Amino acid sequence: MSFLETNDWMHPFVVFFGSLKKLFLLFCLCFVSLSLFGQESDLEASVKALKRKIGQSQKKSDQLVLLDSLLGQIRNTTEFHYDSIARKTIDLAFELDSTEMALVQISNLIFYLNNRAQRAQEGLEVFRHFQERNIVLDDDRLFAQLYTNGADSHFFSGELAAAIPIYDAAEAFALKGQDSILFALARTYKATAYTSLGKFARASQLLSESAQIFGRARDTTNLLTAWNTLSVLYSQNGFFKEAKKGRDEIMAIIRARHDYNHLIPLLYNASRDFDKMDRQKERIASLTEAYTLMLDPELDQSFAPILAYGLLKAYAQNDSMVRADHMFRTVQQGLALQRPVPYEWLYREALANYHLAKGAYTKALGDAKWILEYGTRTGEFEMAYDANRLLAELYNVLGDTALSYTHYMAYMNHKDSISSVQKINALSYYQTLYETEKQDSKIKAQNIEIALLDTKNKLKTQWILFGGLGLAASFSIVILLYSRNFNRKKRKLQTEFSQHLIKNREDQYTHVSRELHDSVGQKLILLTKEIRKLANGDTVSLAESALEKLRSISRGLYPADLENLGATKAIASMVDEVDAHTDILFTHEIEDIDWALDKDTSLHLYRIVQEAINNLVKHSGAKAASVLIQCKGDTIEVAITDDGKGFDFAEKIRQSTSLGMRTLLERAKIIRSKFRVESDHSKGTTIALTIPAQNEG
Amino acid sequence: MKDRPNITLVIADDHPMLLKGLYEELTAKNYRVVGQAADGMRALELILTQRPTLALLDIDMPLLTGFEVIRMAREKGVSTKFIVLSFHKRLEYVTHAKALHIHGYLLKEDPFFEIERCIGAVLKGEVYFSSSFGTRALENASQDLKKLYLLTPSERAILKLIAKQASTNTIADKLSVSVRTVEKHRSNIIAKLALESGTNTLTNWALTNKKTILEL
Repeated sequence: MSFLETNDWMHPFVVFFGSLKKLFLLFCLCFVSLSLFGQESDLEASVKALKRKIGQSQKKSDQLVLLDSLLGQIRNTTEFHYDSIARKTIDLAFELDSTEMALVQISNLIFYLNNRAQRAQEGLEVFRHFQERNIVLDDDRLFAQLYTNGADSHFFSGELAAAIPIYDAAEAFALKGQDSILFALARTYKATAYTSLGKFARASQLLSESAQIFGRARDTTNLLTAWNTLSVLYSQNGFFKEAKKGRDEIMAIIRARHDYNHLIPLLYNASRDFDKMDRQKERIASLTEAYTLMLDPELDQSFAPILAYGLLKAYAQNDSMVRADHMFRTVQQGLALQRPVPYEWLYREALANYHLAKGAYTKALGDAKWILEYGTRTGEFEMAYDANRLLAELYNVLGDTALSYTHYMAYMNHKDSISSVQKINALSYYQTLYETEKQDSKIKAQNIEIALLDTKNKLKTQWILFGGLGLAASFSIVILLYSRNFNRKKRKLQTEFSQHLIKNREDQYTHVSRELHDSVGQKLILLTKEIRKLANGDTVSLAESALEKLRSISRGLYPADLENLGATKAIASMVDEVDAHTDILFTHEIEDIDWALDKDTSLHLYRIVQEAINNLVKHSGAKAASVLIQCKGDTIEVAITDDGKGFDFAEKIRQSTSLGMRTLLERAKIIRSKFRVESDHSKGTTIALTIPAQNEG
Repeated sequence: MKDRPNITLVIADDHPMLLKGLYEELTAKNYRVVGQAADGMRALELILTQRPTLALLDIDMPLLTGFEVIRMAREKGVSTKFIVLSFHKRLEYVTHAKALHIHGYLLKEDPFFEIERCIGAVLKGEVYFSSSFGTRALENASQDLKKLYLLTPSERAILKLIAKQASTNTIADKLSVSVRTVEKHRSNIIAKLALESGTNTLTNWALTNKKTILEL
């Protein structure tokens, strides 16, 4: 798996703003590079051609189709005015009553504004505008995606509290649409919002649940993201042991996958936690491993400076001066010459520690002051915290007791407040544990410490100080967002891929069926004809049975009935055939739907019914079954019901072996249908499908 | 050999070997083949320009299917009679052909004498379907009984039980389905056979036609 070619790289700054009472975390994400397409010129040519076609097309419906495919091509780059084209497309789609298309494009536009253009505020406006329209559409998965993107807009715009109920709505839609992955994604993102709100207990609970869902769905990438977020959360709250446990599990999997691009930041996070636990040997070991891995030029080099500074600081703090000297020279001859110096605050911090260890106090003082000033200006409290510690130590050796004391006090203040915040968090964390009756024994151990705090009052005032946890947090968020964007893209790619696969297979089957029919079929017909003239019964029936076999194979590959008899009769005939060959009593009521479906949709519908009936015959143990197809307004309702033993659909879909069911779901997506399964262990199963009619009127 | 000066034919099949074979057999028997087509569009064109007495058409053809050719030719008001020569050996196709008022339905592997017999019948204004379907039994049956072919396999199974005087409850028991399911099937059967609705109409009808029903 390579994350390099397909990923945007961004790095964050955590900024505080707002009034005294309201404080928000604002995440500004900056793109350093965007290289989704290897050959930009090809894309440009293709975009130009499409635009020309759009200009030439007379019919608005044609324009809409072209616009849709244009947007598909440019949605991952910021160079082609995706947003203004998307807005036009949305307007046109509404004008032509293509509500679904409009909503898909709205969802994509919000995603683009949040994640590609970093204009979450605009995404927010688009989402609010959508909410004002009060659109009703029977597509829960689409709504789940739309609401997740809308909630993200709030989140990225700093409106954290407002994001929560929207994530809730997204979850509800995902649940209705029976999409466990979408459900868990919304929960994971909601957990991030809760984290930023300081509600760690809730966040950790959500993340654990999401992790379970991803685990059951065997969605490893999302599972790892959830685990990682959880482990970062623990680390932020001083639960280094829990953090380590989770991280170790992730690292084991990532190592097995040889996914070094993701291993490196995890190793860095581990080294920071080791430092906080004062396990210096392990701190240096983690950093060294990461740094050594990074020497492979094939890997993403974005972390290289951070690792170099980290090692320099670690060597200096642990009196490994030979190594520190060597690293100092490497940094000075490389990174220090770049303008701007990458991650300058980390550079300065490493230098200050190095100079301190070398006894070059004046130089160290200069760097430390720089960090304090920068940290105060940007609101990065952890920087200020480290700088104060350094300054206290420096002024002490320089003999300025007064200044040393001032900085020492500032350092201690920060330290106290951080640990208080941690205790408050610990409190709510254990309260949740208590509520969920999971770990009674642990609570007793913590009770004494927690009792010292007057929690409610302090929670508000010390909220600010949470920011002091600083870099660890912001750094983890890099990793989090990094994989979030990747996941979305990957998910989309997977969907596209599996749909492509199904279409491709259908084409191949049709082709093979045609070939069989044209070559062997033709000759077999002639042979049968000739043999009837010449030979006796046995030979004739041999030829006839060969022809019969060919007929059934050919029909299995491609149902020619669809073209010859139309979808309505083809489906009825298929049901009758199963009826004739099984003990199950079938009823069917199939209204004429030939007018409403195009060729591809008919084929997918036929296959869906076929697969559903196959499943029913194989697994349900039903005695009676019915197939009902009705036209209702501009949709077609399909229901396949049996009186069998029922099954746990969610369970079935999770089993990777249930390929038929998965294919069925993908087909439903291809024909833009809503798919529901109602199954009860005593009442049998109903598989229902709502298909939008294509040729209206 | 008989001369057939007044009968003209158009034949269509996208398989060259079969088209050639058919052409040779027909001309050997002195039929006048005025046009041969390898796709549906060409077949339609020939039918519209030549106005043949008969057209022998394959169903699966490029551009237009045999059924589509027939529908479109009829719309243009041609009086040509149609015989379908098909690869598909299923009752649904015969039913479909009947619904389109097609005069003959043959299978591609049917021997030539079957084709001649069919042509003869169609020219006399009769309807002829390949003997491979074994529908002869119902050929001379009443219109009522012909409707039995509209029933699905499940409906036939239930109708047989009704003919054996089984009650709805007994049928439900015997097939391990709910009484509601049986009732649903009964009402579907009544609708398809166009019987008057009433408690005993179906049972009586089944008893009257017991012999035919049990032979289905």
